[in-house]
Amino acid sequence: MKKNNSENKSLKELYRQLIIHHAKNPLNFGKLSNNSLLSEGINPLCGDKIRIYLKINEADTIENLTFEGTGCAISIASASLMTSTLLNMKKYQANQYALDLISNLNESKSQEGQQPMMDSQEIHALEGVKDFPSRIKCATLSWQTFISALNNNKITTTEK
Amino acid sequence: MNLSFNEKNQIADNSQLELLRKDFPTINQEINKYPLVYLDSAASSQMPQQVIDEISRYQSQDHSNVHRGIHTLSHRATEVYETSRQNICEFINAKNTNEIIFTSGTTDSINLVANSYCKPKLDPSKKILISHLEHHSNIVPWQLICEQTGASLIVAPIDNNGEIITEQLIDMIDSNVVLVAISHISNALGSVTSLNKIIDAAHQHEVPVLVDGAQAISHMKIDIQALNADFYAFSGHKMLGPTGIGILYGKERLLEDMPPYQGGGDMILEVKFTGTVYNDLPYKFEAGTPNISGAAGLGAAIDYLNQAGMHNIEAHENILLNKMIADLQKVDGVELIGKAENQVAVQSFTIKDIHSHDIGTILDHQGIAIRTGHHCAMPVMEFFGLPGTARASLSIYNNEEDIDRFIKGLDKVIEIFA
Repeated sequence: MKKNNSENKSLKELYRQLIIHHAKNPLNFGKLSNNSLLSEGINPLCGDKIRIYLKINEADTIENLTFEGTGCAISIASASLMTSTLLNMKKYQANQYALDLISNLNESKSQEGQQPMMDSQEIHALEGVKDFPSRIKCATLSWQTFISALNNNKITTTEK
Repeated sequence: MNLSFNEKNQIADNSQLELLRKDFPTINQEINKYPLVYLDSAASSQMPQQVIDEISRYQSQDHSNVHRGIHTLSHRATEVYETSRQNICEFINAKNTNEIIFTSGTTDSINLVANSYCKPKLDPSKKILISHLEHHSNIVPWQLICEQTGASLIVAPIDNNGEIITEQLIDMIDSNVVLVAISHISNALGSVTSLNKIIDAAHQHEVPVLVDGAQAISHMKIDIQALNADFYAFSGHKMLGPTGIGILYGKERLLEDMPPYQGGGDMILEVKFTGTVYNDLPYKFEAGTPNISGAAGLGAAIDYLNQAGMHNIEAHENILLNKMIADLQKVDGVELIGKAENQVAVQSFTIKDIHSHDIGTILDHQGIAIRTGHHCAMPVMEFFGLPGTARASLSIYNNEEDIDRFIKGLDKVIEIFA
């Protein structure tokens, strides 16, 4: 069988070392105790479930942010990156960041006038999903659930 | 090499089935620059050119409405539709075509039985018995009517091999059970249910049995009279036919006593505002203009399966399944989910620390299509404590090279996650 180098390249873009690393060693994995906001995000198409625990202090800053759940490498790595990126941001900043990220990942690669991806190198690693339309929701699930937690919604789904 | 046929005009032996692969246009294409390996027939099988041609022929030459007009096309459309019914009747060895109801698929067939047969008989003292192995389509319709009537849905357990514990299921049958509803073959695990024992036991209590045959119909010969099931449901798109068409087989005496499921045209003899006289079987259950081209395609799919010979298909798929199981067991980190003694055309598995969707994406990238996730059988996944599995499933057009490519594809999965 001939090697399909270009195809392998996009697979490597999807499963970058950073993504595999976060999937295997997720940051901020676990429950938060009392006084935290909680939201559950479900992807009913694949059964992935992620719970986000969020604590905002009096200065409207994200003081603590954790997650738990089951999912593929992309959704776990994305949740891990989400928690580490948004921690210590102001509530309104974090909300905007999550909204921008979701809309960025949903834009096709070739789209004109596309905003450059987020400043962070790490977050940039999530862009590999753009070649895999069926996997974009894996990457956005935790961000969507974070927004849901900010808005005090207990549950959200990718299919709404 | 040319195909050779026996005296029944069936392909002479199973080693020749490989020659049929060329009949399937979807199989013969490249996906992500690799020749496609299609191992997702349990979700939906592919159609041979003969089925596609018959649908096209019907649409371009014979189409009109059925059982209505006096003109030639209406007559031809009716003939296509009723010939397909006759074909299906013979294929499963039903007594007559009154027992063959066209539906939109297995789900529709089960909902028909739930609402028309079961619901009028239910009250809080009554029960419906299913197993832990069922597809959501053989769980949720029963939950709905139980919620509406206060009846209970009771669930027979499975064991660690993924098989229904037949004795325990049988112990759960009593005269308050209105219906036993079980799959013939588990879509998630491929386990074959011991139907003979269960149907005999249910009939001793005069309880009828509905069999969800969606996964069985294209993999083994079904003789419905020998099986003695009271209802048997299946779909066209899992037996080389099109989507949107399926069958409910029901014993005539049960169907006779059931009220119509949906009202509309074709299911009536006379309509007056003072009351309507319903049509006879099977039309009583076929309200509205049916899926005529779907029926045409399903009829052609049955012709195709008949010519291939169900015994050949069974032998061919069994050889491939045994190879797949043996080869999978040699892959590091693979755990087989579902180890039934009698298993057909399906193997579910996990790879240590790798989510099934990642397996699916990396295989797809190599042109290999498998199913990943919960397979619309969440209770089965819950039983094994898994969010999902990877599932490879077989059909008539698969060959040994497909299995080799699939196993080799798993090496890439393991390499990426190393």
